[in-house]
Amino acid sequence: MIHDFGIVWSERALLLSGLANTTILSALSAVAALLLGCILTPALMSKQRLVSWVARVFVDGMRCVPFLLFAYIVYYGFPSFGIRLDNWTSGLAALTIYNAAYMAEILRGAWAAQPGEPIEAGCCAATSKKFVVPSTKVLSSCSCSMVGCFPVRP
Amino acid sequence: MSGADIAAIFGGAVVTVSLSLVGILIGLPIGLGLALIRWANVPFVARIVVLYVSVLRATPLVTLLLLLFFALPNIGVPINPISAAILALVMNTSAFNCEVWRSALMGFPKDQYEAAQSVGMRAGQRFRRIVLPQIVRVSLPGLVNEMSLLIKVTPVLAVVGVVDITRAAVRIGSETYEPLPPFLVAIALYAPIVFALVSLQRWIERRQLAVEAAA
Repeated sequence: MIHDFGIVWSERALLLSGLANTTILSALSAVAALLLGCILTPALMSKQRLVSWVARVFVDGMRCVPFLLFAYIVYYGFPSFGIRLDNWTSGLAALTIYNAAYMAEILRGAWAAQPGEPIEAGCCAATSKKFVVPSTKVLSSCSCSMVGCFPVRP
Repeated sequence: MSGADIAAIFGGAVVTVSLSLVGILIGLPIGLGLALIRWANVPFVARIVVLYVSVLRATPLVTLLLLLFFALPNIGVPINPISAAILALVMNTSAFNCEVWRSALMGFPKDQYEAAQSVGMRAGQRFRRIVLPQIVRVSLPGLVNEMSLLIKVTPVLAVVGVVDITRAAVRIGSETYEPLPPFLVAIALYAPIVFALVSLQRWIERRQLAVEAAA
């Protein structure tokens, strides 16, 4: 048994590089997904029917596909459209796109749960700042479910 | 992609759906049981449940599955891929279900329980007639969400050789050198299953909102 752990220790470089990959990919994709989600959320709530419909189809589509299958599609399927990514980049792209859909949905939920008054007040006070008031509140109110969202991953 | 290939993906769909169903059906009551142990604060056992749930929620399903499949035979418990897959799914989903049930139990108004006590209901009756119907209603959206997560995590079962939808699609793609068509068929199979669950969840939430608004 101890001997077996000795093998693990002698291969620690491999394990550590795996840990580094996991950490870097998670961190990068989390930030990128959050940013992409911030762009997607207004699209989801857009008054323009077409824009909100396209965003809704994307978000619901992502929520209906297992992540592993989506990663396979990015890696094996995208070359058919002429997009050829190496394994690391396609992993990052898959994580980012997939999580962006979830981020957008969480942000939309948090946004919809906000009371309307602060937003109206923000609009009255200064148009240039009207995004700041709700966005900080929205982000802080849904940070828990965001953190909860990231570990849910094979 | 030939007809036999599509049949193979459908065979994978049967495996995916039945494994998910078995996992859900076993995981739900176990999760409830674990939540009840924590709710009732059973001495010592409740501590173990807390540890179990924390560890299981922090372990990726793939890691758990590989551990079960390769480590159990090492300590003399023979296990085949299907049972390892079911065991891993049940362990994983019961931990998450436990949290959903527990938060519903935490929100349960204590005065109702005491009222039931005061009219002389026994513990079993109190749970069956007063507690259970209400916590089921509260935890249903969370449980349905957990079910759709469970279905979406089944592709990782392929690491021990279970051929599900995704595995069948990958196999066909590597045989025909055209990976896109089988993947699209796979999506076409997953999407209705998960979308049905997502719609169910939305419908439940909307109905509950309507009931609350009416009350």
